Amino acid sequence: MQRRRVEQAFSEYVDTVLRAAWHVTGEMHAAEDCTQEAFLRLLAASDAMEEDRVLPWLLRTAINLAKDYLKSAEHSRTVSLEENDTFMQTNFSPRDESIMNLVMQLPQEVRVPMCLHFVEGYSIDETAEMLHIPRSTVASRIRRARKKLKELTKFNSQERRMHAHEF
Amino acid sequence: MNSDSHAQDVLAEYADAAKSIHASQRFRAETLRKIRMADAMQPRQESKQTRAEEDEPAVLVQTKQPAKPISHAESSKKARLQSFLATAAAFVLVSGTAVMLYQKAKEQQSVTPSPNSTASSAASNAAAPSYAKSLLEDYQSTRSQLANQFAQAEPLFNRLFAAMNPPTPESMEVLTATETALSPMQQSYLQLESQRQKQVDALCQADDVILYDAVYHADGKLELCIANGTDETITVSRGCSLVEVSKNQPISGKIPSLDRNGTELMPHSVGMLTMEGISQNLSAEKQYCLTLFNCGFRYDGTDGGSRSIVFSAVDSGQNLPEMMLASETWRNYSLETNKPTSHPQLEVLEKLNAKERIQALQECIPAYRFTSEVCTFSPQIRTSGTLDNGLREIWYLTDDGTAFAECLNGEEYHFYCLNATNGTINELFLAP
Repeated sequence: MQRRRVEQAFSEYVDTVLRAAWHVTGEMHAAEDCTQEAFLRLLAASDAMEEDRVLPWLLRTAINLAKDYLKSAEHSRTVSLEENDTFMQTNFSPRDESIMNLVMQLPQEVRVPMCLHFVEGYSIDETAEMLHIPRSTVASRIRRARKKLKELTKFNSQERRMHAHEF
Repeated sequence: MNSDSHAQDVLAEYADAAKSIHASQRFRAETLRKIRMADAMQPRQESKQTRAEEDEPAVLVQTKQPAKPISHAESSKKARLQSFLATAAAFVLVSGTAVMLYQKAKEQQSVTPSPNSTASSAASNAAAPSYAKSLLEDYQSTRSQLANQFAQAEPLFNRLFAAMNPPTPESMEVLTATETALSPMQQSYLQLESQRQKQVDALCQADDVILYDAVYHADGKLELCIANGTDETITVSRGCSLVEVSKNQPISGKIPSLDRNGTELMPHSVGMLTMEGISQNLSAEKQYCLTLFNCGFRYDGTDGGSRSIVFSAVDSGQNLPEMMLASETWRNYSLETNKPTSHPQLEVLEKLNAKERIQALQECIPAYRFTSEVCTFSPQIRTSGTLDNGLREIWYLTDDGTAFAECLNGEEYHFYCLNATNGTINELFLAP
């Protein structure tokens, strides 16, 4: 693809693609790497790609790269999400960090569709296309994510109450 | 609050927090730069292909192509000679002299030996700053090996060209012998050249490259040294013919500059203002043979303030290069207007030895970023409309005659590659 088009896409979509990758990895550096790689790969993509296909292509590529990253030996050598404060790089408030940590406890396969749908506002169809999974699978994973999130929040509330009693 | 609504709240808060994630300026700049660098490789390859399709062989194109096996089965003398010339082209990167050697050979099948080709490299190495780090050493090592390769090949070329002028039946024997001798050397040469290109590429990709130094050698060569701001210094440029400096005459280091049509442009008057200043300090009664051999940059330390260009000269006629004649001078420029902010100031630092001078220049370095250097230096290096956006630009020359230009045009920062042999200009990337 022509560089000008890639640069245009970069200026328009970089934040969106970065966030998508971040929803998968929960790590800013990794998300940046995946985003950067996605745009570099766009350069090698066909120039015939229609304009409205560019963002879905970028999102799908970045998300796949982010998934690969999670599977990679490099990531497995590092620490798990629970063990690591992964949000230190993003200047979130303590409250935001706790929320982020909570959501990140969701399994990746349900967390990503949920984030794309509820946080980023993509439709079920768009999310299905990005993730290369059937529409029905997206819907069921989102249901599972919400259910799991309810359990987690319930558990967290109970824990907080217990801690409150201890003090 | 039940768990369902609590989960909704969590999701809403998560969404708010996630929406605050934006790509940092650093990340944007780095990615754009990488995109442009990746893209830059494509046009260059296309350019090679396009050029290769043309009838006339191009030195730079040929030299960068993979080694072509020379077919001994070729019966046509003309075909074999063309093949040989392509081989010879692989050896001409070392110096401008070598390029001339090739071009001359192409024209008349004969060439004058080039005794300076290795000497210039040696001079360059001798003049390299002692504080150069591993990057420079690696680069120079490669370049030195390249020079050695060429030195080995040069007698073969000369013998062949002599044999070809005029062609005789014996010429073909010489040609065959030369081909055989060059074949292993060619492979080695191309590997070295590839290595050198990578080293230069690595440098060009550095984020905060600065123009560090420009060294004019007494052998008539110009070297531009650029560093990446971390003390690693590399010399990437060589090949400008130095015009001897005389009193009251501007230095006009004539950089091989051709426009898109191959028309030669006005010479860049690299040091005009410098010598104007230096000459004020020279005695009218004395004869000088000045060689401008160094320039550096100075920053006055104020925010957005002036930059200074510092040039040094030696009186090579006295053969005392370590005892500098007189000469450091500078002129302030406003980065905003790109025009002098004051009348030229002159400061004479007499009897500084080379070490002290280098130390003085080193102190000036950290304040600079590449872009600043471009702004500062460019008024002296205008290219007369080649790049119509180039109000502020600087050219770098590489051994193979390729010139790189950095141009600042408003907010845009262009990086051009000019092939001095065929005059083509390619934009390499558009840095943020």
